[in-house]
Amino acid sequence: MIRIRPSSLLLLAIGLVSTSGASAQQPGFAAKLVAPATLTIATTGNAPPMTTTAADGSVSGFDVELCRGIAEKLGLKAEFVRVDFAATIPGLKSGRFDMICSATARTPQRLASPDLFMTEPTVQNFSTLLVKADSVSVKAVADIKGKTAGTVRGGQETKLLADLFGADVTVTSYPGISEEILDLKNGRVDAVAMNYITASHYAKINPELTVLKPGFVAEGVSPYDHALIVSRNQPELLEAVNAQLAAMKSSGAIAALTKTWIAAE
Amino acid sequence: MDLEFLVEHLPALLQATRITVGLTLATLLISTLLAVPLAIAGLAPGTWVSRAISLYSALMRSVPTLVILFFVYYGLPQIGLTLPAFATALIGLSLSATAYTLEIFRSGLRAVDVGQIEAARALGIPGWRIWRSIAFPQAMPIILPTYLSNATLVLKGTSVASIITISELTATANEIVSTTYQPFEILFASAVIYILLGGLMNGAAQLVGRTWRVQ
Repeated sequence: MIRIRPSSLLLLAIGLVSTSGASAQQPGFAAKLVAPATLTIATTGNAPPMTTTAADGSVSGFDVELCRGIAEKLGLKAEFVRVDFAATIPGLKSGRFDMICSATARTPQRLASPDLFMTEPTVQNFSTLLVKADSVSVKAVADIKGKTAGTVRGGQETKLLADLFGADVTVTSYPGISEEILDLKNGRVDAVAMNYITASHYAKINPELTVLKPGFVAEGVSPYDHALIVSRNQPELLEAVNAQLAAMKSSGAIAALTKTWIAAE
Repeated sequence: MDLEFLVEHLPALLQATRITVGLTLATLLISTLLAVPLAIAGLAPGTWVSRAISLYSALMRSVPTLVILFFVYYGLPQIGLTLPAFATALIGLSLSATAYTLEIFRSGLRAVDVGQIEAARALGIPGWRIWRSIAFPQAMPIILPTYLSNATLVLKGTSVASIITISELTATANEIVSTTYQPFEILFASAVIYILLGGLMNGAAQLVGRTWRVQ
């Protein structure tokens, strides 16, 4: 007969009860997750302060910490995958990620898309331009007419500029925000179109850059709300995440995160 | 396969193809024009010229093209040299392609019997005629197949230029995919376009091969 110590038996019993308890609470989305008991989250790490990459490669930021908190509340491990923005939504669609937590806007196009779910709003933002502080040609967002602007491939600013200015603005596409800011400093583009929160962050750490205010105004597109994105095959996960967001709003957790990451800008 | 969707975006892909073709042809032209004299100059082993050329080719063949492009585009401006995107792509791709091409020409020329060159020199045949009538005609059948495969690598190498904002085929395909979330049709069409371009290169190489063989 195998001798089992009473303490191990107790631990085994607790383990069985807790895991069965957990799966009994979340049968819906737990089975459809990309990796068991894990929330696989895509993020760029390239849009501070919403998502940023530290020197050791780990990701952090408002959206990252928000999603880490949500994963914890749902009893899941949070696994962040760093990808360029253009790969996030196609990756979600092909089942590589459960969620995207990467400074995504709640645009009408995305809300109507059959390829993803957008959660309830998290924070507000608007699209604007980041320019060199000594720029004489672009002093207000309307001045970008006839000039060159940088955008991130796959971001909503490309369409925004096309809708507002058509062919009057030359748009140069970059794989990410750090590349377009490098080129702004090098003078290859007159301005970089991005969201105000990230732009303010860069203006703060680069005194030679300035963020323009007020930003672009386009019905439903700017100003806009940020939201998280959930995979289309996970309506139960969407419900669970929305429930967590509502709870975090009323408990003041979102306000605290905003204070730590955004209001400091 | 959503054909309507594909047809809607085909004009954008074809426009981008023109840039891919332009970049490929320009890179091939520049790298070949540079590689031939470098290959000839680097033939004699042991001279400082040939050692310098070997060093260049070893360096450029070891560093990934992506790194070269990134360095020229984002790195050089830090020391004051800011070049427009297309020029950067051309320089970066040519630096890399020249290294491979010069090695191809060098090994082809080395395959020609040294005795023939010595005999031609002893007979007083001028230098340029030795290359044109004796060395190259015998080297070309050896050089051409490898040159063609290098040329298709240059064609594929242009896709790396997407990282420095050139709107060539791969960049444009990715742009469409990232806003429509429908990768299959677009990427399939891009692959077909690359295959067709590679086929054209193959055809051109065969024509050139026939010319050289007639001699």
